[in-house]
Amino acid sequence: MRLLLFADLHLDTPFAWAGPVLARRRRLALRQALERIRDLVTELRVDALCCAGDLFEQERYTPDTAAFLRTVFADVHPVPVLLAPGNHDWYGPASLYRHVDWTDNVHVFTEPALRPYPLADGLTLWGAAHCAPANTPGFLDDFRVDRGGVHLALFHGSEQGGLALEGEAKRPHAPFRADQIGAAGLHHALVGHFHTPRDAPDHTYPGNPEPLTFGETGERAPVLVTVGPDGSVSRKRQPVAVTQVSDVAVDISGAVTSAEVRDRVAAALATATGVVRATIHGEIGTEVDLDLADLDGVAAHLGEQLVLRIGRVTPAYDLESLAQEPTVRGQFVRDVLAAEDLDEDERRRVIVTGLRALDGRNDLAVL
Amino acid sequence: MKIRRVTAHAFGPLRDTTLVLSDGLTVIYGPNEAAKSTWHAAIYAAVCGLRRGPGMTTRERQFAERHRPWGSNGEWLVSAELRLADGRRVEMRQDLAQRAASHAKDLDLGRDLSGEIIRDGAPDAAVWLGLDRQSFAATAFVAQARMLDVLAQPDGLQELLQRAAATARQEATAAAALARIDEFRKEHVGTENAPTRPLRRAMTAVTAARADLDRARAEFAAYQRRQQEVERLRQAEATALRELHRYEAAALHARAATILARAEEARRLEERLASMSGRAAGRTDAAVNTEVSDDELWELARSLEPEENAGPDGSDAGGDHAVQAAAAALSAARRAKRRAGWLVAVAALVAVAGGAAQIVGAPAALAAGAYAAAAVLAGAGLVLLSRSGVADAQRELAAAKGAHAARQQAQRLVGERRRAAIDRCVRLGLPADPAVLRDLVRQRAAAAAERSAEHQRARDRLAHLLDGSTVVDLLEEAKAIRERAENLGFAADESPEVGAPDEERLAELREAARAATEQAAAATGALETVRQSLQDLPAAEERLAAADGELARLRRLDETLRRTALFLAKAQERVHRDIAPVLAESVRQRLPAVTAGRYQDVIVNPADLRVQVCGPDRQWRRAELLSHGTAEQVYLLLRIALAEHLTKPGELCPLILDDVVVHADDERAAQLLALVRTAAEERQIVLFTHQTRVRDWARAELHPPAHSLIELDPVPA
Repeated sequence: MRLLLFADLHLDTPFAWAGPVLARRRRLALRQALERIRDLVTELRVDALCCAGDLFEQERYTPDTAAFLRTVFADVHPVPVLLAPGNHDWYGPASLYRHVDWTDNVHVFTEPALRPYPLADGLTLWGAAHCAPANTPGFLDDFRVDRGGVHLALFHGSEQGGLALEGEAKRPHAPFRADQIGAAGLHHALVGHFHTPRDAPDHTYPGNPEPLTFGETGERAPVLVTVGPDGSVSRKRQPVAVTQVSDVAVDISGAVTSAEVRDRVAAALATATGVVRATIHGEIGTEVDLDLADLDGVAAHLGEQLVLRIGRVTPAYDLESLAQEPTVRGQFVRDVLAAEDLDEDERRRVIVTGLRALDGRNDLAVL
Repeated sequence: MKIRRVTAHAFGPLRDTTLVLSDGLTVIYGPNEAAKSTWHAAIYAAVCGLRRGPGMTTRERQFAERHRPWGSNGEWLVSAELRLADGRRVEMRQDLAQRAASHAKDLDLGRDLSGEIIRDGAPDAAVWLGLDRQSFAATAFVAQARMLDVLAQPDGLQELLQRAAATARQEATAAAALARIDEFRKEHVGTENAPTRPLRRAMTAVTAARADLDRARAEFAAYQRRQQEVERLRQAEATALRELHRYEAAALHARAATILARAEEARRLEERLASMSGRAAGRTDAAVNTEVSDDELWELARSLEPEENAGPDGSDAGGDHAVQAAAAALSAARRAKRRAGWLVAVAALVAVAGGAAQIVGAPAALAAGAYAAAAVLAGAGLVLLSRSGVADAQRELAAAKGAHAARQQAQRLVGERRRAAIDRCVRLGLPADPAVLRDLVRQRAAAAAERSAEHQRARDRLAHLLDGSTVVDLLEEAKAIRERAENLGFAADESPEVGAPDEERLAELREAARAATEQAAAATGALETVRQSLQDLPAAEERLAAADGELARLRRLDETLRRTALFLAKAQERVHRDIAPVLAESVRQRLPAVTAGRYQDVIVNPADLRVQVCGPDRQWRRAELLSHGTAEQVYLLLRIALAEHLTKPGELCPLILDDVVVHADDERAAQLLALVRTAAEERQIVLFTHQTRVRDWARAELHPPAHSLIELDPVPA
């Protein structure tokens, strides 16, 4: 039995970090990723396509998405498509899932408890749905399979051991412990929610198949899960991302003019491709008036796919020496350095702003 | 710090020339074109170097344009020997062209000290004073022009002090910095109530974006509600249609069942008719041996029937009688014939008698009578003759004999047939009784008639059932109807039992379905209209995020500017509070001496560093408003005080003065020079001048090694 598992596509998600054009492209890329997944169904001759939630975002899906999903999943007919709604595409009265006239190969799990779907003789896939955007209890709590054979689970949930790796923003929806999988009589759980991929012994997180933001690590891709007669699984990831998203750190240390900063950034991005977030950092001359507007078109080949931001850029003030001055400047530097109610970023901005003002400069919008 | 010597290896017009400076006051005299300004710059460059790195500020460019060696091979080099307060002798070598070869070297230990004082890529000895090359220039270098500028301004001294207090440089005072921040904040942030300023605009943008998003969300929520409504109406439509279809399907299934029943009955009738036809053809009546046909039975009965003319023994009595009768008739005929012969013969005799009588002439009546009698007799004889039928009798006899023979033959045959019939009956198990057999035949006929009637009835029923079609047609029709019913989604076992469709109920269901369909279609149309006008919700969220981001940026900038201003104001207040008494004390110590007792006390306002002096009358006057000479003296005292204050404790900052007495009259010049020499007792002072009166003063008043006079020669063109 060969299953193609994916999750956390997040169709129609907003990209606040991108401009309007790039944001639309990113949403288009999400659709293209799903089309690639569709193509994999045929290419890999899988027996079923499984989505472990967050296929789209219920709060903002476009009506066009409904038609798109219907078409894509109809394309793989008669291969079963098993959909387990997550916390973003939760199954409710207004759910898109309810309003699509799915072809008969599509099966949507609609209950907040694991329900069986016979994949083959002796092989049962148990699926469940989030029926609210939050506060969904663990699907494995008090669950136990009620029949023989091999058992898989498909749901959207938070493996508690891995929650810390997802960062503070990740909410523990439908939490479970890995040891609950075997205890429930399940051989393996196919899970969504964590965007960082994980191939644990008894569960698999495929991760988001198309980049959603920068800094995403790990091989995030649909997983071809081959289930053996004894319930053992082998996994192989099948990358489908249509976009390469990369972070580029541009060190502009030593630059003393805006032109030099621009040259440094241009050189750093000359060979960059895909969607690039360039973070400028370094210690620069105190005279440099660093303004992102001056970097417009710095990498023309990237066009709208370049996201520029100012990282830790520090004018090369010798604060130690300045702090020793018996001047207002020295006192100012001492006071700011000693202030306990400032975080480091604000401290840096205050110092640079003050020193520039004392230098008679007008570029006081410190980034 | 003391500058022991400065060598211009290649600097402006100077090449490999050295100035040796005293630890106290060194007056460097030179007429015009003696490169005084060049040496002034060379001292600065040798001590502080120039910032290293790409790009060049305007000031740096001007400096380079003025002081790059004239027509050299690119070399631009100065050096100096310094003595620090800690006793170290240091060589400063400033490669101003390449700047890579610059260094600060401990002349006693040979160590490179550049690392201690590298600033912007070049060693800067001002760092050892707690200054940098910019603040050193502002603190250590005092030019007459600068002094005049300061004194020409109503608040010149105050500003000088404020600038020095702010950064020890000349760029800006803390107050100006605060004003700049305030201005920048107004311009680039503004307040929430300033509609044209960025903060207010950003807030407006956020409000608009949030309203857009709220609207988009509301539209989306409305869309979803409509979608649910459409879903509900679709379900209602489906329910209504299902009810209708269920009813229609039930009716169709019932109709199909009826047709199937007809077909089944017709099929059975057809089979029965076929069966009946078969029995008729084979006489397969159960009451009679099916091997025997009615004709055979009838023949058997006839064969068994006794011959009517046969005697009891089966002889042909009739035949015999016929022969006998024919023989008798023949005998009678023969007798009649003989009688007729006789009559004719008598008649002939009579006639002859008559003839004879006639001949004889018997009476004619006699002859006629004879003749008449003869005719009657002859007639009678002829009649008898004709009636005798001997021939006929002979033929009849022959015929009778023939018939008798034939009958006898027939009787033999009948007998044989009868015996055969009896044998046949025996074999067939039938009684050899022609009556029984005939009865059987009659029974058979009755049965056949019954069968025929039944057959006809069956045919009539079949014709009624088929109504012009066939069983196959009926089955096909039933199948088609059933398929129609199943196409409606209902199998026969899912349909309710309905009899004949209730047209009223059907109409009711159809109306309900039509209404439901209409409502669903209308809602779907409305949904489509809403769908087409839906805003791009993610894009609206992104616009709000961008607006929020800009507002957050402005608020952060506002907060940064606010905090910066607060820190700066506090720092200014504190420094002014600290520096004011220091400056005042420094000036106070020297003021009576340099003003010949005219002014004895000084105060520096900590708030704004305004300088006021007073004489014995304790009348406080602003320093800038004193006589020019006194103001210059106060200025110099303040500069010395600032140098003391700004320099790191333990170090003394040298002062480089450029023609500071050029505008003073002789008396004031003498006072200033005296002040300078006094100051040079504790710190190194280099005084550039082109005035001969100063040279002459130096010649008279300065004595090596503590003090010295250097007289420059004009530099060759």
